[in-house]
Amino acid sequence: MTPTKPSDLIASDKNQNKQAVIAVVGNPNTGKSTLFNLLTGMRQKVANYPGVTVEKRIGELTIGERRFQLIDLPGTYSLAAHSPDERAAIDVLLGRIGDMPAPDAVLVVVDATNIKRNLFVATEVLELGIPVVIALNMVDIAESQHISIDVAALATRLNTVVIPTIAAATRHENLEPLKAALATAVDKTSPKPWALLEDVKQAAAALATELATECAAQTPPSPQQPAAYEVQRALIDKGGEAEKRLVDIFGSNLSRRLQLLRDKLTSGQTLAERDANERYAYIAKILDGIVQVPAGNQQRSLTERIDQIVSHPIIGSLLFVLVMATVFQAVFSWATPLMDLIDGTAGWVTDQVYATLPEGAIASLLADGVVAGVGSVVIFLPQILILFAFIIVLEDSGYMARAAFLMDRSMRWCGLSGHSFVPMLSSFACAVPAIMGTRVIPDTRDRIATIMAAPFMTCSARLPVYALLIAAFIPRQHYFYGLVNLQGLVLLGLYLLGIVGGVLTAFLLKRTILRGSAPTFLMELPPYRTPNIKSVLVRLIERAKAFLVRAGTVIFFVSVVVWSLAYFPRSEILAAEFERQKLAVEASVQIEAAREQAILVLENELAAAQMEQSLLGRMGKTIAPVFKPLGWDWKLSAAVIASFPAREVVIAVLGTTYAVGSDVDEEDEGLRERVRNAAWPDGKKVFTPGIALGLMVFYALCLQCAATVVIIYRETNSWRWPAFAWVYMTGLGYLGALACAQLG
Amino acid sequence: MSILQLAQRFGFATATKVAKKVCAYAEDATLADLKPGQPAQVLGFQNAEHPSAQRLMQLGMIKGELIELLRSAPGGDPIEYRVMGYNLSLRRAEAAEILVENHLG
Repeated sequence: MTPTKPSDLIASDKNQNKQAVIAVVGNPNTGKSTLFNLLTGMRQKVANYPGVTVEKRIGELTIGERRFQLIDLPGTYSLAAHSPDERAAIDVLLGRIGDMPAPDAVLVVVDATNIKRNLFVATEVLELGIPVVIALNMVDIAESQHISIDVAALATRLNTVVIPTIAAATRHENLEPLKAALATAVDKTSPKPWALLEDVKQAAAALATELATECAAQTPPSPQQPAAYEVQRALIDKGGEAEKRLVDIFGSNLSRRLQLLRDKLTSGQTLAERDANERYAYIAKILDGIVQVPAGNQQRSLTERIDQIVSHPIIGSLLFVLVMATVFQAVFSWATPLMDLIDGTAGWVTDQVYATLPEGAIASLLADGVVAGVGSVVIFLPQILILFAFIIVLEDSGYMARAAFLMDRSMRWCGLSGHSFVPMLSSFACAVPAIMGTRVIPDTRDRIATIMAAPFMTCSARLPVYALLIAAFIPRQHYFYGLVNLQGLVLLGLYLLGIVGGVLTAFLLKRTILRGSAPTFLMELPPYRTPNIKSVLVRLIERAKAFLVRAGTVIFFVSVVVWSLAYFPRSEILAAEFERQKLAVEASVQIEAAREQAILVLENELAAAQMEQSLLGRMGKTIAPVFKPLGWDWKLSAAVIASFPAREVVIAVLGTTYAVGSDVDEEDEGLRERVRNAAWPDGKKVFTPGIALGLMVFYALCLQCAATVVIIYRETNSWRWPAFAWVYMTGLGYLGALACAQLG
Repeated sequence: MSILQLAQRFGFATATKVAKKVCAYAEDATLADLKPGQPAQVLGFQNAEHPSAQRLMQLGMIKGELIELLRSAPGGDPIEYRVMGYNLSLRRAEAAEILVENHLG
């Protein structure tokens, strides 16, 4: 074969040098992601599409000698786009995403048990003129429901390859034939699209040609020539993303031209109505005689029987409470031994560092900077992984949709939907998995409002801070014959403050900057399924990696910075004074235990003195005027600054500044005592009840968690939202503490 | 239709509600009026330009489809329907946009 035409040259070039790209399209709940995970395994990259919050998941597939790139597009019922997130699918298919070429083939995953609705998007993709392979997935379930499909006839009528597949909990079948079909498809020419909405297509093509001429006539010629399909979408999806994009390029006059065309093409129905009606009529014709679904309400299917209990207004709600209680029980009790183990290991490594390295900056950097920094990230990994695992299993089994169904009403008054409930609840353990879990929320505005509200919930890192402050400042008073105690009430109050803060934030955001079109809750309640373990693991590992790599590197960096601020500069004079006093103690105190005790006190005092003249101490003193209205001294100011990367750090920093050593925990009586007695130079106590309460309120409302900030960036794909969250929450915390300080 | 549109245009919430009730009796029933186990055929939309109309049609709410109400969540909202062989949850307000053949007389 000798290439003669330039197009042949390009084609053969494409086959030999470039990795062919295959896009994976399909409805939600078709097992599309499971199939993708089975095809690509761990060889996946996850990123965001520019400007939107949708995940770009790219995997690698090797068939024989050849390697392919697989792009998993977000699950969708149609290529119509009414939000920037929905646009990602059509942008990929038309090759409009930056460095990504248009795909060489498309794998459309079709749920065999629900073939009619699934073919809607499949027929849209077939019209694009890109070679298509259809994976008729879950044929095993279809068979068990006595649905019979003539696959060969279906392939003929659709003029494409159809491979029946199974990608279930424990078995998968026909992946090899599917791979072979994909390998062949990428080299094929596109099949001719059928006659559907022919007049609309012609009008769209004509307008696209006109617009292309206008592009060329511009000086300099504009490169943004619209594809005919894009114009077709703009005509059908009135006010949608395609129209917006074209208006951006050609000006608002284009809206009028589109409307003129629409008026010509509609006949008592909108174009969207025509599209849906004619397409479903066409699908019905394709399926006529080749798909047999048992008539009527044949089988009380397993899902139906489960739903009579699980979706029951009362029993279902009780069951939901039970499920969530189990999840939380698991998160806290299963994670504890692992967290203790990590804590113990970090302590052991710290000891080893100090034992082997000479005392000085390097040892301190390794032990107090690196080990403590890494430790503060890894310590939450067990909780995060357990919570992730539950969320993924709840999603894949189909239960998450039922939870959203049951909880929708309770979330509605603050402008959210039932989808937000489980992510919000998860953030009582940790905001990081909760924010990653917001991917189940289809509406972008709802999703961002939930992301902004989630960090207010009382997470497990706030608890030790509350425990210290409550034990130190809230008297052990009991009311109602010991049934109610004041400390418990304050803790409850802090929890409620977080809930109110989060809910009000969502409420306000949804009424201002995140106000959208009419709220909707169109949600498929998929059949219950046993999740595929490999697919669950792939996603679990990917999310753990995202947390460790993204959040880990930032927290590590910030920890080292905070360490340097607290460590440098070292005062030689103080060190020399310490040595002198230590020698004096060693000479004068005879009893060994008493001597060690005295030296420990000296060491702690030295650490406190070094901290005072360190950069962090100086920063605390510099910034103290800002916190003065809140009644905070420089020690507290320094501790608060140091705890912005991770709020629980405040305990160790307070331990150092109050000279009880940095290895204290919230149960430490010495620290409680010191904090309680802290005084201003004039002898007045720092912590009045109002100021102590203000500090707790500050920690309840403030976003002191670098991991959360980074995850918000990752999930919203912009620094705008994390910056907003940080400023907003810190501001609220400040105002809250200020209000409390007025109490005296 | 015209009473409803007028009411909506002038933003009279109560008038809209009343008009909707009137429409429900005078014209067609909507999906929100269905009783469990009583399937009905879709006729169309109150307003074909409703923001959710296109998505609902793509999800199978097209003329002639048989829809059945399965159950509602606590408080009667949202509502779960069976359409085109799968289960779909809609809020009551969305369900009230979809006209079905009139069982009310």
